[in-house]
Amino acid sequence: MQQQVAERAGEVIAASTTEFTAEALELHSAPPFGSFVKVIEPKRPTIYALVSYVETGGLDPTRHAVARSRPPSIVDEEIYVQWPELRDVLRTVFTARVIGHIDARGAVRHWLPPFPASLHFSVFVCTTEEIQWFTRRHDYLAGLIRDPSGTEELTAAAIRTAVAAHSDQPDYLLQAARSVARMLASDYIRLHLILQSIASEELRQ
Amino acid sequence: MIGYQAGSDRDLGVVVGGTLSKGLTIRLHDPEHIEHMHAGDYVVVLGNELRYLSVITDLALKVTDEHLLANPPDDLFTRQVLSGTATYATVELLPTLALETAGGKSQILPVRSIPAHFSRVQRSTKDDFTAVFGEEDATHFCIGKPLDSEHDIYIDLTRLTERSNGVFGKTGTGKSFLTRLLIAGTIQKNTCANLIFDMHNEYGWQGVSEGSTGKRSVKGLKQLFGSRVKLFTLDRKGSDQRGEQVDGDIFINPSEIAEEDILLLGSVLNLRETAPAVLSALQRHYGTHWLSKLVFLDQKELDTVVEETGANKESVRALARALGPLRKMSFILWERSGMAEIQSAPITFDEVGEDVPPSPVAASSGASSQRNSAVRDILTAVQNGQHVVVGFPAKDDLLSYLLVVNLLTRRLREHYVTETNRSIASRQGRPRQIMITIEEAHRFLDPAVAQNTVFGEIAREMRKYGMSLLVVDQRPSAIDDEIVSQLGTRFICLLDDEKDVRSALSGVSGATRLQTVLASLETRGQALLIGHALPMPIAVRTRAYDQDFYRAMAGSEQPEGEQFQSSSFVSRMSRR
Ligand SMILES: Nc1ncnc2c1ncn2[C@@H]1O[C@H](COP(=O)(O)OP(=O)(O)O)[C@@H](O)[C@H]1O
Ligand SMILES: [Mg+2]
Repeated sequence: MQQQVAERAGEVIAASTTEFTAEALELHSAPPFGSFVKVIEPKRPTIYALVSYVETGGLDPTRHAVARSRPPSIVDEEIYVQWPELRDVLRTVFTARVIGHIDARGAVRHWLPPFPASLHFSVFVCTTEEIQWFTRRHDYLAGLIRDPSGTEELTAAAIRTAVAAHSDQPDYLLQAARSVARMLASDYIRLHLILQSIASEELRQ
Repeated sequence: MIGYQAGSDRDLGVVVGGTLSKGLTIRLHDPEHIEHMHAGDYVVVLGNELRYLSVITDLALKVTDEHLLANPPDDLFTRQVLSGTATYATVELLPTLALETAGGKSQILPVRSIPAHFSRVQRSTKDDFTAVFGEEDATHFCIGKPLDSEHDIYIDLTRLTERSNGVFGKTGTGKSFLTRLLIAGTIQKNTCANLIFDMHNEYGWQGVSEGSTGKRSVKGLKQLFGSRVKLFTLDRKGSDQRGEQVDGDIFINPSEIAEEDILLLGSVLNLRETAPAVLSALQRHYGTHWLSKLVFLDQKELDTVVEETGANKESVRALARALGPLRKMSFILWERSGMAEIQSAPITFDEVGEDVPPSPVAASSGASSQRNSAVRDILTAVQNGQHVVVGFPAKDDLLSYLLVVNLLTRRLREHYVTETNRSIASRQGRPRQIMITIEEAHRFLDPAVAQNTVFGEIAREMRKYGMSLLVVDQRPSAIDDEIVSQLGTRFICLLDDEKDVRSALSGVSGATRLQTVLASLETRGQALLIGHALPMPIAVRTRAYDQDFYRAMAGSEQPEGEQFQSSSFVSRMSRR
């Protein structure tokens, strides 16, 4: 696997213990749903989070975007060429669910960090190695599953991202799925939803 | 094993619940392993201080969420994910013994505690079995191997012979083979004398093995132990035809037959309710001749008898008719050989003297010297450290069997009671402990007769007079429950009938759970062993009765004086 450099994805604009919101560097370019991101701060744990929500809208929340297309020529990308100022009044923000941190000793911790992310700090997209390292165990999923706001989609997306980062994918998928099955032993309906969206067609025959 | 942090590769699972009275529940680490767990297998629960030896009594499949059952997975991936997470298997255990190991020595304790939650469970090891069942020695005899492993299981033959025992199982399950093994054991280890009533002629000289490859004869006790076993027969002709090496014939004096011997035959002879009254009336009047009188009764004599005894004529006639079959028993030395009736009977006694009961061997001996003859012959053998097998007519002659078994045992017992009392009074040695083997035991021990027969007494009183029974039966439910629960050690092969299962296990603790073990036995060559001669119940594949076994028994046939082999009892009696 090639050594990657963590890519800067945004800037924290709101933060709490369990999640933070960041503005993407560019319009429409937030990291994908279910991707692993991190916030690095000096002398503080590095916070790990999962992108759980992405939204694009006007800078001024009171003003709605209006339709601008003039078919047949001015549609889609052409609209932004026609009105370049749109890139200044619109923005993409994303919310990330905190799933753990790296503590002062450099150990992966699958529980909430002592401090929330600091505002205006950078949000990075985790590299494949970082994801691999962070997801060697599956305990971080427990927090997602326990979340009362029903996050089968996010859990499934996280597992898909994690599986992609591991080399022994079928086995890793099975182990991750079994961990989830244990966490949801008493709720087969939710478990079933997750299993359906993580297993590829080949695997499920 | 998938995804579970097991303590060791040998761990099967952990304790997840249970009670002292009902046993423990184990959750298997790998539910797929359930197919390798069997009722009757032995496992050990590793408590903090004790190893709990336990038998598997039940197996179960469980789910954590009932929704799963309504929507079972249809693909392999989901099955794999669920296996051991949302679906799992449990095993029910009955702890049978606790082993306390200190300083390399194991001590066997009864189970009076249970191990804590999540105690680990493993298959039992050879050391566990050795600690519990011991090793081959002066009294321990290998009886087989556990169903799931290759360790030898030993029973304590001294403890076995101290009490009456039972071998149960439906026909063809291996009762006779197991019985012959047990007796061979007691002969080899010399733990008691044996008197075997060999109804089907399969213990004494040779038996038949009906395997998948056809019939094959196997060595009987006489062939295994030579002169240490004396073989007597009621049917010399049959014995000769089978090529048996017989040591003597069994003859019975009519005077030896008592009322109760006849009454025991009640259901076979269809005796009327009036029979007991008539019997005692005749006995009062004719003393030891009562039976001959009755059996050979003709019309003329009937009137005399009725007159003399005051018994009801019709009842006497009915009884005489019912006793007709006794006339044909060639082993009974009828005194009235000159009578018309005997001519028609298929027995050929040479007539010698007047009332002297003639017999081919005993032609020159006096009637008085033949009293007790068969019994005395058996006793002599027993006192000589030998073992006695009594063979019967080959055709299933239930009547002869019942009569002879009851009579000989009754006489033997009278002797043992007298001798025991005398030895207590004179502070001398007691008579040699004897184990009496009877097939079709329910005939002697069914609730209707068990109260009155000598067998009921022997079974109940345990070792008081140095006698015990080895009862062999395919229908334990027909045996008085009280007697079954008195049995010291039980050897139970497969039983189909629920009634029989319940009876065979009556009085055993944890009986209902052992029922599952019993039901899981194979149709032949396996048995559940419970009781006095074993520290804990165990299901075994019985020791193979084969060349290896013969070899193991060889060397136990220390030849005694030749005279024992050649002397028939009558000639010896006449020498007295
Ligand atoms: N220990 C054993 N060794 C060898 N064969 C056995 C053994 N136990 C049972 N068998 C086989 O099972 C058959 C039936 O056994 P048997 O003792 O005659 O049954 P039962 O007396 O219960 O009717 C025998 O013919 C023999 O082939
Ligand atoms: Mg038999």
